[in-house]
Amino acid sequence: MERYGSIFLFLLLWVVVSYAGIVSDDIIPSISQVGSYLYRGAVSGIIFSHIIASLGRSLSGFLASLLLGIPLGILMARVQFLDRLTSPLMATTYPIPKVALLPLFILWLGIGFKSKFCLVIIGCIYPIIMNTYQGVKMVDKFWIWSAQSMGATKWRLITRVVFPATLPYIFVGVRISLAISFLILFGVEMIGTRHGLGFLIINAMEEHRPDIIFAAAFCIASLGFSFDRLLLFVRMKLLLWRKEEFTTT
Amino acid sequence: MLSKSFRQICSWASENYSIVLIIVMWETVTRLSSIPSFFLPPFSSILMKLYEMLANGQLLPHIGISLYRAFGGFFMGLIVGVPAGFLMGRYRFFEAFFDPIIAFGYPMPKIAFMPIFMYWLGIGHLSKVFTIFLGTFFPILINTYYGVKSVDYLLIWAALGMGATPRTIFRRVTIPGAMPYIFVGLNVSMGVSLLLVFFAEMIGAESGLGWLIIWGSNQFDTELVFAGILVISFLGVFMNRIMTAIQNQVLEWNK
Repeated sequence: MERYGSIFLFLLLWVVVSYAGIVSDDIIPSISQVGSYLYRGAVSGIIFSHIIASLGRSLSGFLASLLLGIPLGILMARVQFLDRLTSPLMATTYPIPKVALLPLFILWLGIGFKSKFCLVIIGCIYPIIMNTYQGVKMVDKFWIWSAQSMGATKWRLITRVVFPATLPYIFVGVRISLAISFLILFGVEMIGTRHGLGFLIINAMEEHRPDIIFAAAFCIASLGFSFDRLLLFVRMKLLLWRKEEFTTT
Repeated sequence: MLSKSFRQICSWASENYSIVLIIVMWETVTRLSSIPSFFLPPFSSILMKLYEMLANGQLLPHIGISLYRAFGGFFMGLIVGVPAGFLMGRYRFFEAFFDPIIAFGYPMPKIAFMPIFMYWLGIGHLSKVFTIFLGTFFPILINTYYGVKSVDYLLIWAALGMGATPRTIFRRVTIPGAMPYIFVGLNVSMGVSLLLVFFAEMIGAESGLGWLIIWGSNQFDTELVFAGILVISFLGVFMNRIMTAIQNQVLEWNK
């Protein structure tokens, strides 16, 4: 209770402001309006269908960028030729805000699932590749040498030494990517879809329903929060052998 | 003079040969094949479009507006985030106050709140600036906090032992000690502010580079879209360079 004091303070302020009539319901809806919309949406299942549509898009892109990004990062750091080929490309394209590519993706891949999927991948893959790459470069040379002198094959070297040693760095990138996948997704849904939480918000804005806007924003915030926590939990389980990675934040 | 700069260009091109290769391939493929130009225009015609728009003054106001919004939010985040981070690092009370706010607020996609701000503040500059403020505030706050927390205790004890007052310690030890971390936060926030400004302009604006790109794509003017993306990419790289330069100046002692 005490740890979340400021959240309770915030909620209290909201209740006081909306019930005391300081600000009208059109600007800040009361907590009961938002709550009743959420309740009705949950009972009829509308909210869940939007949540599932959004999560399906963002998580599929996020997972695909994990599957592509980690091997790519390791390869780039270990193979000299690839490093020379891709490093300048990565360095010049990394600071580009990837959302700007959305109109192109819509033009090339249509307005459906594919364009959103690819945009989420493009947005997520950079932090994963960059952090994996840096992690591999930081792996202690003595570990690699001793594994090689004990006769480890290239595959075993990567799976048993390089990958575990890089894992803490990979998680830094993964956490950034998870946040980016949600950011890109909800934004994209605001621009061109008929489903998902982002669409719900934009649609509610056009219909002047602040309670729906708040309810959808609440869903988005709690999704972001819970997936971030889930990731931290997975990291803690996977990195048990690294004492200094134990912290939760 | 000419040969020197030519040699510089050549050495850059040989180092970054993959970029040159892609541009050459792009140009030849689009010129030789029958790909319609609204699908993928040749690289040279994008550059022509860019030059044309710069020359007739169509582009600069949009760049100005986007940068104005991005920097407005960024500086608001800086002005609020850094002091809040110091307070959090110094006082238990503020640490307990901001900790849950960070836990909920940091992983939240800020763009989802733009419609609320548009609802409250209108579709002008203010709603975008406020969204960007929220997006830049958290990385700056968290990194400042980590910076203050990670100042070496030995340094503080040494300063105490030499008879420094808390004020002096704060000014001479804590602030410089936290600086490298603050700059990490500022670097991240700079990228976030550019990302959010273009995003916000795509969703609801009448001006700015993000709006220009969306407008171009609605007109099937793909050259305009690519020209806008080039400008945005250039701004991203340029801001990144500027931040690194400032960082190197300020943190010269830390190398």
